[in-house]
Amino acid sequence: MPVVEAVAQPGEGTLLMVKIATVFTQCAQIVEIDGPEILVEAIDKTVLNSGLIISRPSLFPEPDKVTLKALFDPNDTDTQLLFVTDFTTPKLVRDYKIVFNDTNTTHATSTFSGFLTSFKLNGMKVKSNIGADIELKLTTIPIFTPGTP
Amino acid sequence: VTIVVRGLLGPELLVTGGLLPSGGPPPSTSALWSRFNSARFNGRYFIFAAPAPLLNLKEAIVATLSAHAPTIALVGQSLYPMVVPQSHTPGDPALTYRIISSLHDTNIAKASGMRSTRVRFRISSAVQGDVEACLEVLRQLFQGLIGPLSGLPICFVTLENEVDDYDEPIPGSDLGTHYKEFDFVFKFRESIPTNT
Repeated sequence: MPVVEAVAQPGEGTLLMVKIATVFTQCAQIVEIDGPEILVEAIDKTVLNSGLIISRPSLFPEPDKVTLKALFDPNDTDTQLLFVTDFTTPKLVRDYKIVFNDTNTTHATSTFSGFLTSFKLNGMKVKSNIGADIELKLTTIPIFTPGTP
Repeated sequence: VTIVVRGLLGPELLVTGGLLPSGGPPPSTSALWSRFNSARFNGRYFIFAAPAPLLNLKEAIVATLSAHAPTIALVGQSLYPMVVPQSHTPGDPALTYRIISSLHDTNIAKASGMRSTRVRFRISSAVQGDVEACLEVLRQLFQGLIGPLSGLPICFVTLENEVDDYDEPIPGSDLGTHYKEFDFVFKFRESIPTNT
């Protein structure tokens, strides 16, 4: 496999897709994606005669969360209102995909599943746009797939 | 001689088929022709574009705008670097461009292959409507652009700033010039120097 030199990738142009029925659809007006976050807890393995505080990694990695900032349009029934209506459907886990803005023909992606844990409107003040802070809790370890030129 | 031009890729013409007189030589005097490899088959010359060299940003902008019909409709070929030359007819629309800042991203060891360049455009005309129309034409073309710009891989373009002003006419004349300046910030890939 040829060595591909790592280059900086732009944050702009990154897409968040949500699977609706069987189709990944772009979430509208996303301005910031933070995550996906994965945690591995450090477990204390120090014993009484240890000279150091030593840890070991937990055997259970934890898919944690993705936080989103969006410009919220209450008229967008395609994707944005999903962030509200999904709360009325407990136990609903959706598939998500982040598509990176590399210059490949097929873009690199990160796919994961998760459910909504938080939704909060903001920005309802002068000189501002209506926004929303959204948080997802992941149920899977994200899978990163490199793009193809 | 008929040459069928099938597409335009950056600075290179992509010619997939050209009908020339049977047995006739290709127009070797053409500088353009020399940029292609050609093969003759049944009187047709199939011509393949050479790999396009990576343009610099200003070349890419000029190549794009000078082939962009809405821009041509407004300013014709009056697209100049830095300043409008004296040979330009006063009052006619003219578009100038210049780079006013550039940031080359780096990691802790070397260049990271990403650059953000702010290009300031200035549209001037005796007609205020031309000035407004030009901003809108360029906004439609550039704002949020992702993808190749005449072969240069653009990652994202943002539109920032917009300032109107007016150049006073010379005494005794009514012919002042309206102008508008605005910036596009082009974020694009650049090569990583091999000096490390």
